[in-house]
Amino acid sequence: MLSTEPMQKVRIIALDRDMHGVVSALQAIGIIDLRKSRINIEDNKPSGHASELSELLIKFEGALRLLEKHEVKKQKHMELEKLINEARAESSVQRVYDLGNERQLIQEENALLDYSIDSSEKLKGTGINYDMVQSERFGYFAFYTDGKGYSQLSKKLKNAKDYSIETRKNDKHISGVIVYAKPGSISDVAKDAGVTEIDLHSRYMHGTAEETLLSSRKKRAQNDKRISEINKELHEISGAKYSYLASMTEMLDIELQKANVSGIFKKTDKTFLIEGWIAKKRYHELDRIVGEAAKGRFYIEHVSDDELAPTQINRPKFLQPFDYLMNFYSTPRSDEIDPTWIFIISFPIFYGLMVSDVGYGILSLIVVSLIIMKTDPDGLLNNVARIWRLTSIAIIFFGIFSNQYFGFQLNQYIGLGFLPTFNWLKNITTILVVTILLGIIQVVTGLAIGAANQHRHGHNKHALAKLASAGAIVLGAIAVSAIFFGQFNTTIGAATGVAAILLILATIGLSREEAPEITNLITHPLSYARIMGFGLGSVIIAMLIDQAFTPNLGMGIPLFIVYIIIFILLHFFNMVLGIFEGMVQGVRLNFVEFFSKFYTGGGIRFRPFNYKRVYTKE
Amino acid sequence: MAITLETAIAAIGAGIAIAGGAIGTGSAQAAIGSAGLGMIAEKPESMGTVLLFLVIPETLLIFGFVVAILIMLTAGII
Repeated sequence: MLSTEPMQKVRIIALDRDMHGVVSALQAIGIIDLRKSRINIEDNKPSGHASELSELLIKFEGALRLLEKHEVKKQKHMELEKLINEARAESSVQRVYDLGNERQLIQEENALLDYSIDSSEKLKGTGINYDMVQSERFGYFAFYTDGKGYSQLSKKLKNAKDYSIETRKNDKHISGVIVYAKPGSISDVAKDAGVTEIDLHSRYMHGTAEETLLSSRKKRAQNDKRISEINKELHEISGAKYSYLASMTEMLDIELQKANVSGIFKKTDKTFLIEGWIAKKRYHELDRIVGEAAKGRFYIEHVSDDELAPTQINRPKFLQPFDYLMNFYSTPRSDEIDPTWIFIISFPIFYGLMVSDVGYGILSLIVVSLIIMKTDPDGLLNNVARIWRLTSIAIIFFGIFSNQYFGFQLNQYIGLGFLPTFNWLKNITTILVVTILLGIIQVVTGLAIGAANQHRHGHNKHALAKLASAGAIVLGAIAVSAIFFGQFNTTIGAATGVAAILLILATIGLSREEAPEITNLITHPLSYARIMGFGLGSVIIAMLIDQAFTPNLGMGIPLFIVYIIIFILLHFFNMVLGIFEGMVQGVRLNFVEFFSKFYTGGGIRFRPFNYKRVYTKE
Repeated sequence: MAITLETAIAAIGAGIAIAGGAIGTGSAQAAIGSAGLGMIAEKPESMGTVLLFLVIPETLLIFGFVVAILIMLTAGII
């Protein structure tokens, strides 16, 4: 349970003529993570079909993007040669491309036409003639602005000379054209006044504004008609061809993946060589599949080298968000103990204790369910929300045992009065001790795992140092509770105190790496007191909200409504604060205080060579 | 509850313990936070790592809190 899947590196040698079959079989079974072999023989080149497949795939993908989605009927995978020939001969792809390009050009033209229509609408009645604005003697500046902008412009133009201005006013704005004698320029003055310039050199602006309006609107209508025709044709092609093109695209993608992967193989005159990692338990399956593909003409051997095996983790789907969070921190190495299960167990306990309120648990269940529905399933927020959903159950559990329902104590009213409960305000000492004890247990567990890891790698002195540290924590805790809190007699306190000091000295003597960690033997278990700190904080805020804003009908309906809104908002705010802090602190206690005792991380995730078929079948 | 001079001094001591931890945590988080935001601006995917580093100094505040609780327990305030 605490280790990742045992892996084995294998080498497959088969005849060149069986390469396509073997690669297809490996892709279909999807159990091998392929690697480039370090054997000093010639590299195999990627398949000669790779560039053609790539070119065809780009075309098919581009065409598919232009089509409307339709239901796809799964097609049987074609032989490579047949696939390439059929893909080359498929005329609808070129037609879709042409239509798409034409539509894009028309849309670009429409943007210019819209500008000329909009501008001419504004300049209508100013007497502008677009064909005359290229004059050598006169400069033209067209604009539109609001009343305030126009008065600014008038002020700025007071001192200007040799110009005339023609304006037109409508409901929205004032537009106009300033004609000025060259070489002077009025445009800088006008722009300074904050008016918006109208470009008079746009492609479709010819003749007067009225003439441009007519011609542009006519062209726009023709374009709209043509776009409708293109959309209609694309709609018809989508209906007739989408399913087929989607299947063809997937087949091309599959074949391209196979063609490209052959570039990492090695070769001799008549054979090729593949290396990769597989789970040990699937070796026989691999042997059988390759045997069938190569018709028995193959050889598989185990490879022993110093390469770190990839990490494969098989966990139930509902717990996979924890792996996501672990990978976010660092993937476990295949040669170390996987701490995720301990994280899965301890995190809800810390988190549940910190928030511990049935009301908040139910509310957070609702909120995170909405987040899960609305966010990308592979994104960070979605995965964190899935963890929140699981841990909301822990909040409810600890909420029942601390008798907290939005800060109210309701167990006795819902038939749970018989349950033993703890009170955050009355049992502070007990809760503090329990949280530090939780810290001692987790830190000691971490040190024990660290010792096991070190022993695995043959570093026995370091392993002993970790065990000595663990012993020092346990004995130190007994000594502190005996000397300062009178839990054991003085003799036991003194003896365990001396033993703890001796173990600390032993730790320093045994391992140079472990020596700087000595202070953490005290600080890390104490750090778990934050569980109590944040839990107490959350409960006190909830109680204060109840005390100040619990509504009652005696205060009158309007005030009752206001109090209810404030009451809900403040509790929601406290819940958000609680779940965010609970998440961060719960993760932190695991990642910093616990993992630092043993975890190396930096593993390589197992990425099998495979393709998830959606539109095709084998 | 009658407030004696001893309880008052203990309460002030508890306050100082919390305040000291909070100031220490705040100054450490200010430095880490500003550097962390710079890192996130360059590499948004480093958000998790930055968040983790940002919360590390909170241990100081927790120690202050534990000391304050112990002072108040010893003085019989809670």
